Amino acid sequence: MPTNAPTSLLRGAAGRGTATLIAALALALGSACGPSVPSCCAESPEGGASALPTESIWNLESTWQDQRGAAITLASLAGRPAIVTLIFTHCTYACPRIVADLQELSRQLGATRERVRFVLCSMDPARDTPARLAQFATERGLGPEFLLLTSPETNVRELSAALDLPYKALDNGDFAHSNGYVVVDAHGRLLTRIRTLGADSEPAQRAISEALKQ
Amino acid sequence: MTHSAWNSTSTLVCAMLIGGAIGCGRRHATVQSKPPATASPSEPSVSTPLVSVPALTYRPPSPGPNDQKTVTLAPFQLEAHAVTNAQYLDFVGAEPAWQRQRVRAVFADAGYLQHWPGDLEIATSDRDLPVVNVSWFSARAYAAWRGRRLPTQAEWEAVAAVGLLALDGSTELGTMKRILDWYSRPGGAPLQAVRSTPPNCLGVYDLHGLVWEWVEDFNSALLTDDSRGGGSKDNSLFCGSGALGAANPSDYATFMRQAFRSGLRARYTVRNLGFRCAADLVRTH
Repeated sequence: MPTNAPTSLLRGAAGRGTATLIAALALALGSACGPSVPSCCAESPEGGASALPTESIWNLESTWQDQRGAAITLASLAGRPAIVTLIFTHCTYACPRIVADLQELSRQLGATRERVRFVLCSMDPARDTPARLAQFATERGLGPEFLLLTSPETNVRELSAALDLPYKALDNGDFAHSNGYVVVDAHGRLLTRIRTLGADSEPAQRAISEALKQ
Repeated sequence: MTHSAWNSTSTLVCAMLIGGAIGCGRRHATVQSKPPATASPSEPSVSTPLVSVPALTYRPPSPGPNDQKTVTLAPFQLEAHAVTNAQYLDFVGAEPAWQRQRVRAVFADAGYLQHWPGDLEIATSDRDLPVVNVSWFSARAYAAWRGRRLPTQAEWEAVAAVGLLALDGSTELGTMKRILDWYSRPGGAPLQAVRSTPPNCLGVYDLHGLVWEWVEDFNSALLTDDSRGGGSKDNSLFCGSGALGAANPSDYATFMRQAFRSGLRARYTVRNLGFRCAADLVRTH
């Protein structure tokens, strides 16, 4: 894993997750971040991954391809709250329902959906090429708020572990997988987790609404 | 980065002896690295020797209706022993992002390397003990730094089922008893150095009796082939109900490991959880 990223003040000093230390640093950095971002310095002048909070899932240093074939680093997804899950487009049962749940959530968000991202990461890099992801997005009528990503298996495994959304390849080429999704704030910090198909999306809506006020 | 350990021993002898059920012989002497006693604190650690593992048959402990009952794994290589504190110290020296004070919280919890006196300091007596209090992310990063990878659960379990005398350890009642004795011992006992338990017939040490070990797909232990039940099948894995559907109900240790793994999260660290690396077989440098 590449580890030559510049070490920021926050990362270097707050590595062990000592809450008080983080809080103290956040206060110290408050003037640099501006009053609207009191708890974090993600909008510090340097920007980029080194400014992410230490618990952000966007610290994962993998690169993905979206449905347009563009290279996307996970760090670049910071800046907006996001709904993140794992799917595979050949899935005939659970994934279409997960996607339908997320489309319903997007509908419920109304205009604020433009300020969040729905990130669907494929667990099937062998079959889910960018072209296939684009086709899937068209077939399902996914709006521009949906970002579909694919990356080599080792990166999928890492993201799966970070999100605690396990999956397992089956002999027939399909996957067993969890049916949930996670909601993270604009800095990539976990806000809430929806575990089942067809679950009440109210906790997710509330988390997104709170995150947008930050 | 150069690697000197691809010259692992060939264990084709074992593969050739499968049919004859003769056992595969005690060839562990050929894979021993330097005796730990001679390593001075300032001496850099070396990569753990890799043991070549032939195409083993793996029986998933709780196969789903569409899962194969046995899987033949591709030959691969597995480190002869768990990664030691001394080896891990070299890693964090070379990769500062994985030092205790710098590691990001998403990658490791607050217990990460808590048994070390300092960020770049280990007790001399800990040099050859397996490194513990490491997360899955950090274990993976170490493996990548060595040009290796973590073994899959199937690979780890298949080698763990190899006996001291023959590739199929399930017929060795003494081996089974020894394994279960370790699991029945209360935790908290001091760790022992790597290679302090007898090697299996391939020359792999300490798969039982030293520490638990991370595997690449630790978080899929509870998944079956059916996502419709909510993604997991808890009621068919544990204890009695799990054993009923099991391929080999006598291997209770396998279920204990599955239950343990299923309780882990990738950033967790545990004081008796370490790891070892694997490598694909067809790598030449």
